Amino acid sequence: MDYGIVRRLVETLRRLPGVSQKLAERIAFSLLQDPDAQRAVAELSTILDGASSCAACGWFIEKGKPCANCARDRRVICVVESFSDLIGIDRTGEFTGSFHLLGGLIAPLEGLLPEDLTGDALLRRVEAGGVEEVILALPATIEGEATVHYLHELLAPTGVTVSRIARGMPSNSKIEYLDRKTIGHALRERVKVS
Amino acid sequence: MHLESLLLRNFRKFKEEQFSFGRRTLISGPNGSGKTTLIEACAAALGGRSFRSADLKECIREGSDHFFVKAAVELGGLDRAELTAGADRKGQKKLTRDGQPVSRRALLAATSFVLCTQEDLEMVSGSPRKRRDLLDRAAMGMDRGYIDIASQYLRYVKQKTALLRSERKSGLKHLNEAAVPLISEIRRRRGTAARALSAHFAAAAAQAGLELSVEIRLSAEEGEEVRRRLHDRMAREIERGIPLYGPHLDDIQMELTGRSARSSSSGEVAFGAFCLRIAETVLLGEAGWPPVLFADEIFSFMDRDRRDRAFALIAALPFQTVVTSHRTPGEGNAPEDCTVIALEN
Ligand SMILES: Nc1ncnc2c1ncn2[C@@H]1O[C@H](COP(=O)(O)OP(=O)(O)OP(=O)(O)O)[C@@H](O)[C@H]1O
Ligand SMILES: [Mg+2]
Ligand SMILES: [Zn+2]
Repeated sequence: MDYGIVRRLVETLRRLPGVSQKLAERIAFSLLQDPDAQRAVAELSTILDGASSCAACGWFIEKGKPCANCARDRRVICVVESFSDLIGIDRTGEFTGSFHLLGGLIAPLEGLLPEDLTGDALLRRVEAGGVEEVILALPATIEGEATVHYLHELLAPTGVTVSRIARGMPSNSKIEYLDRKTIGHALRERVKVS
Repeated sequence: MHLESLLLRNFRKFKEEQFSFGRRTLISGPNGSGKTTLIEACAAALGGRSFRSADLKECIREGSDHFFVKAAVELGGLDRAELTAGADRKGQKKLTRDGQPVSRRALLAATSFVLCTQEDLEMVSGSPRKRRDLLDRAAMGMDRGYIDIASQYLRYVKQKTALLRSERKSGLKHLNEAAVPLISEIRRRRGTAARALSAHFAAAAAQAGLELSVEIRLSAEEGEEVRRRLHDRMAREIERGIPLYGPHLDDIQMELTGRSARSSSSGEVAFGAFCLRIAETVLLGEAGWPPVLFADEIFSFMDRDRRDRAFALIAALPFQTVVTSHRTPGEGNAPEDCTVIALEN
């Protein structure tokens, strides 16, 4: 049987993270038949057309609108690897400062070197003044550690306090998989990077 | 740990066969009957790797397209598990524990066994790689946390290699800096393992009625020294495109009773390698991970006297042991309480 357009639709859906073959088939059939599902897809592209990321902090914003993250308390900046780590930390409710999305970690295997991260934007935020502390909420992996050293070196001339969340959590563990209590504890018990 | 039984399907010469193991097991049979193969299959199920072939797929029986082995084990106390390993000709490998896929790392963290094979002679007389493996296994036995440290270090070597091969070189010193504590810790733990092994080695030899010793020498560079070495090597590493320093390259020297391996006899080397494995076994037991000892034909180079002493050492171990021999039992090498697996051609 030649699945033609159905196959193309399924294969396109499969490119989305977490979408299995089965799920892709289910979504494809509903998209082909259900007007409500079709409207949802149209709305998705409108939303995405209007989205962009903040040049200062990396957070996602609506084009032309001020950044909600940059509007938060800027005295303390929490640096995270990714969007999902940001959500994990925000959910604890223990952090009221603003975030900085690094866009990854130093990981040559994935083609990521210091200049591919948003370290320079972070430096500009700190140099703009008013920042007292930068908390590095990065994983205790070799990539996370290398990134800590890079950021510490980058920020040292500004004199800002650079701290990192407490270790004590299993190495290799991604922040997004940790529970709220563990993240909250790691934040409170942060240590100065020296 | 205790191995209860092993099922082999299309594993080298075995089409489909099941074997049961006792507290002591003797695998006997003529050359080519499958003694080494059986131990190899045990190690595949318990450790996810073959000690004979670099790739598990070489264990697939001629004419088949995949093999499967299944071990029923007691991991400690009442914790029973079913461990399986399989591979196909495309190189697809699968390890499971109780039906769920497991990583090789998780498998090694759960099982405990020591392999003593002909290849062990190289531990004494061959390249440093075998000696690094010995110390890493012993360090892992003393503290399973070592697996995480070693795997983070391996990750560092891979990231660094990728960096050295890429056009851009930024981030090299940051990766190096992140590796300094790992490198120091690996060396410290290898050093501790080496000292523990030497002590157990001397004790084993004394128990066998021989006055032997082993000296293991390795790099003890730590902290600031490591940082300086890494820094000094950077230019050459960039030029060559590969990491040139670290525990994965460390030279480890070994001397048996004050003599280098080159000036020891084959039998002395064989007995030395055997005592090192006994030391590893005792060390794992002390650390709370009573292992299964698999000993495959390491006695070939030993004379009658040493062979008897070696058998006596195995017999005295308070752990499960699986030993192969091409002699048939009845020639005086099978104690009464021994389970015998007699293989034929
Ligand atoms: N992939 C394979 N398919 C079928 N047979 C194989 C395969 N690989 C090895 N064999 C055979 O299995 C036999 C058993 O080999 P093994 O090394 O286990 O014997 P052994 O009992 O340890 O002998 P020895 O006493 O010489 O050490 C050999 O004859 C070998 O040719
Ligand atoms: Mg053999
Ligand atoms: Zn912003």
